[in-house]
Amino acid sequence: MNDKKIALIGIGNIMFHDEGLGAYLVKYIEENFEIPPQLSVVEGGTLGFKLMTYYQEYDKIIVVGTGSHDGKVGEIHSESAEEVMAKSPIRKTANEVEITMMIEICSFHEDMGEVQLITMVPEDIIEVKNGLTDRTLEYMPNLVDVVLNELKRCGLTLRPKAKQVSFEEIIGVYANPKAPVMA
Amino acid sequence: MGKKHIIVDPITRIEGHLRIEAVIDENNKIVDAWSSSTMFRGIETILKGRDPRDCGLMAMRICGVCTGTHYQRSIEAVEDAFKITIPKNARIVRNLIQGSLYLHDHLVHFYHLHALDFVDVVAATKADPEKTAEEAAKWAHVAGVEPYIGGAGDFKMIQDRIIKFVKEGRLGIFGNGYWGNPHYKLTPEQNLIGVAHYLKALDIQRELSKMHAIFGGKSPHPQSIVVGGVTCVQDIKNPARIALFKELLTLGRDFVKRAYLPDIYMAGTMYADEATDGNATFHASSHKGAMGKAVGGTGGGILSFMSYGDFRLDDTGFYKSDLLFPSGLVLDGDISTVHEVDPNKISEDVTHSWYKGTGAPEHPYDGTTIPEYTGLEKKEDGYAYLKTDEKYSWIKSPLYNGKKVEVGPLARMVVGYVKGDKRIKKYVDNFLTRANLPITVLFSTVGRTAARAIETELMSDVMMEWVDELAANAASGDLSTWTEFDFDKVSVDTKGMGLAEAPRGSLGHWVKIKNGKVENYQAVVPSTWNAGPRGPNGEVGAYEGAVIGTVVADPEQPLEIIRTVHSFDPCIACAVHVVDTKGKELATYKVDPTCAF
Repeated sequence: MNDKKIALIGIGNIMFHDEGLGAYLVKYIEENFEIPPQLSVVEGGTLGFKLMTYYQEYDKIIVVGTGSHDGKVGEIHSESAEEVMAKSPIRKTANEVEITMMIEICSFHEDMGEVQLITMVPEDIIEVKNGLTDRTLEYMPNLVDVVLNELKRCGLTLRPKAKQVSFEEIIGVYANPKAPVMA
Repeated sequence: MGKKHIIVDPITRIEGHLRIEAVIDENNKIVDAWSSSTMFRGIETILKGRDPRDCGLMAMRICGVCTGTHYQRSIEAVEDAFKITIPKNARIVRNLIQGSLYLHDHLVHFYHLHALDFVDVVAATKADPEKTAEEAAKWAHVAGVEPYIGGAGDFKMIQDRIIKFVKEGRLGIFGNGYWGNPHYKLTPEQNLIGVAHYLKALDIQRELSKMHAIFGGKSPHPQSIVVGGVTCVQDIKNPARIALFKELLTLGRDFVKRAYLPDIYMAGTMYADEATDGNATFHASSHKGAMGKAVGGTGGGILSFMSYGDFRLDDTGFYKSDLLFPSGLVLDGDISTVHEVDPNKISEDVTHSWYKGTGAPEHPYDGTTIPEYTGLEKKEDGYAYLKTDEKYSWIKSPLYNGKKVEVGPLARMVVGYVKGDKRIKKYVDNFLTRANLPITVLFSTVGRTAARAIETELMSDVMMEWVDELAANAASGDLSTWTEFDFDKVSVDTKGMGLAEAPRGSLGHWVKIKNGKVENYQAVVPSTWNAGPRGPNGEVGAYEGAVIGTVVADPEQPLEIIRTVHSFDPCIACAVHVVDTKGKELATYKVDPTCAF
């Protein structure tokens, strides 16, 4: 057991079909596993630079989203901040560019935590639509496993909750947000 | 040697990327420019059919930089449709939430996304730390304050770190710069001050982002605003929460006054020559709509400004209240007249945009978004160019009464100033007097950047007043945060608009509601106004005009184009490819992204 502060951040725009996979992923983890106090699960959406704080305040930051790697749908890549920065500046989404830039900006600061970027190759991130394509949805359990393994590497084994929530249910809630009812 | 093309190209085809195509003459002066976005959106369609009370929660997802502003704008469009006036506490809380967004956005924009267009990091390694401390004191004194970082020892430590990074090849983002370009004009000492504040600003932004969360609800996405008011009554009742907000604001304000403003005095003075170079302007060009005479300087652009106005100061309701930032238009650089904004005169044209349209500019209430992509033209050189006579952008061309206008902090300061707003006049005059610069210096790239800093200082001061006003109101026993309304009654057949100001410019949401559901929805975002293509009769857009007239020191390093586009705080991600007429790629430069639009 260690006391490293870990942030698990899901990124992506839930309006662009598969681009929302990072958001759904972290929500899935939050709903289905017991979250220990040293772990913060953050659905970061497209917040980009608003997420800079997490890079400075946590010892380890795991970012999950879509990637710009060419490859088969569902292929998963896991890279360190150094590997991300060493790549060419070609990115497929504004959000992904932002994350890279933020890592670069923060890397100059002494409080920068250790970053791991986990990305999955999506099928479609162009159509303006909530939810995931069937093929991407099929590969989500693999992404869950990779994220759980990364957490294990940091000394955290998450215990599943008794009641499980499906990806379909989580996506449904995101597609139909409800404002609180005022009395 | 003929004319050369400089192309600012998207990183990829998706999401809000911007391309600037510019033509330079044999003297490296930009004689023409086009701004194109390669994104396709149509996000509004996703909002159709929803319960209008829930729209804000989806609308906030449009963009990561303006999240909280889209959220509030959407809710206010619905409140306008329902004729709801929110309680005083809700008004002040919303002002504080938006105000903290301004502080955070402006600070991060200047230091982390724009400062390195002025500050040469590598040159900072040559600075003398003793002299740097003297220099920092000098500019702080111009601002009437003591420097934020004052000791030679502190500067030495920071310089050692830069040297270490350079040696280890770990410059990160700094690795992509055009260090040594002759259009970097600061001394080594001044560059070191810039880098030192860049690093300090990383700490400060962390504190500022906490402010936003106090009234914004569960971080990081805001959740506390609802149609009718706000939900954070517990935070208003709790003096400790208000005190914490004030403490964070005090900390941020101190940095704004003792680092940000002095840095702007320093950059403004060192770059004043180009900011006042009348030959380097759009209006000195032979373009249609240009006046053929010098007004302002490099990067000034079309000099037509619009502000919808924002931050209500009383409780008389939307579009009736006094505003911190007045609404209005100043056209063609004529600072003797301000025109009132008539929302009926706002339209979007698609002559040069990849949409079908109905043949004439459309008002947002009736706006359509039907894609019609006609592509780029691959020339013999193998490079694809914009078909600039036809359609060339995914961004529509918003017009006010048929005119292209610029929006953003400069527009807000100019409109407020010309309108005679006492508070804005005081801050702008104070800046110009201390800097010993004429008002026309604001009509430039540097001026646009200075206007943002002036606005940040003004905001940090007025927010102090608002926090006290909120605390006093709560202490007096008024804890009302929500106005009740009969949804079934007000949502039968209505429409409304949320017109106000996001940090980077005028943001409008328009909603039509029928039988409790959204019938039509359109958003016209700040970067659409600024980055949009030409109008139906060739009217030049704000980015396009700002770039025309600029002299590029080295076409392989289009630093000046990037600096000017950055000065608008663009919501885009882009790269610059420089090609000569043979289409050979000479250089690539990555430009920051800031948001999806």
